[in-house]
Amino acid sequence: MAHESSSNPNEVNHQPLPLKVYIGTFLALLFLTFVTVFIAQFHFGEWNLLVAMMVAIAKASLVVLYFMGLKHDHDRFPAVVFLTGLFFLGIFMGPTMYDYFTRDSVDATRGTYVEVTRDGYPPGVSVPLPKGENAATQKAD
Amino acid sequence: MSQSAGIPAGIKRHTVGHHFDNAETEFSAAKLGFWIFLCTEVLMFGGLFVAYTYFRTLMPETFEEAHKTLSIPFGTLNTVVLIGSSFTMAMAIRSAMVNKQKQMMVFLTITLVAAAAFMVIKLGFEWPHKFHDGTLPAYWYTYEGLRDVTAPHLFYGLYFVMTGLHGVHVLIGMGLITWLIVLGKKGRFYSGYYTPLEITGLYWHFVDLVWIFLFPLFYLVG
Repeated sequence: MAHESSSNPNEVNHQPLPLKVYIGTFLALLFLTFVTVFIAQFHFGEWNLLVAMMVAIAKASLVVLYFMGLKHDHDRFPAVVFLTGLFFLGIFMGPTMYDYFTRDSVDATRGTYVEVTRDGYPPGVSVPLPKGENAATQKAD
Repeated sequence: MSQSAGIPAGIKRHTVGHHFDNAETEFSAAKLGFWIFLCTEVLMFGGLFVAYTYFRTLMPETFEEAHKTLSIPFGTLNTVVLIGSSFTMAMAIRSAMVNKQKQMMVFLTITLVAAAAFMVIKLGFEWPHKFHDGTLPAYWYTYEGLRDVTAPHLFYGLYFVMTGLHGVHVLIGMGLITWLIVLGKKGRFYSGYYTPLEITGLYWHFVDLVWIFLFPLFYLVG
């Protein structure tokens, strides 16, 4: 890494990355922009979103690693901080969507999964029912 | 490696703040602090992206139909402009590191012009069209073309809030780059000190980063 001990404590002494790193990143970003716009003209249903997001993540990685220099930093602190931020974004996004996507599969009155079926219980009920209610359900069958 | 070599005359040499041991600690501390700020930015935009995901899942047809009213050519042009400005920003930092101050000023000016171009395309070409059509958030929504889908105004609410917040960041970035140009003219940046350039660079690349996700989510796959 470009981290030579400097003779003057008042000044940093960093070696810049080669020019071709920046130019290469720039050209790759332009190319990926072209790719994502081109693919968006076709309609693959749900795959469009997946492909567009994969291209966006690839572009974002290029920007973070090379333009923002996370790959060539002198220490790993910025990378740890940034990944922690992404981790918390994951906690934010993940459970929110998990809750949202699985709402239909929950029996609203009992809070149990509808798919669960057990011998001797009505569909979707996996816990013992109170006596009176159980009898009523059995009678309905 | 001799540090004085290649530093042009007229450069104001940097003195480290008294609360730092040396320039290296000062530089790393500034950088780490800014990355922590960027994390708060990630979570601020993250909240909006969660809202986007939520409503998109709730009403996919609305997003599919409404996104067709956005202009892909303008969006693509803005993406290219912003990626280009990110590149010139990175090049401005590199120029300062190798003591090419004139080149640095050229790159900073190009970055500023590109940022202004982004805002002109957005505010001057894209938004007036939407104000005219009435494809606006909530109360102001008067568009007649999307009668078959539920709550299309929600799409435009998300669009205007998310690209609007991003636009505010571009404006702040323009202010910061102007500040860099002023400091650069005073001869403050050279191989031994370029912290404000590096920090503003991080900010500017982050603005690019947000747009990299906004562009496909609104313009391409709606």
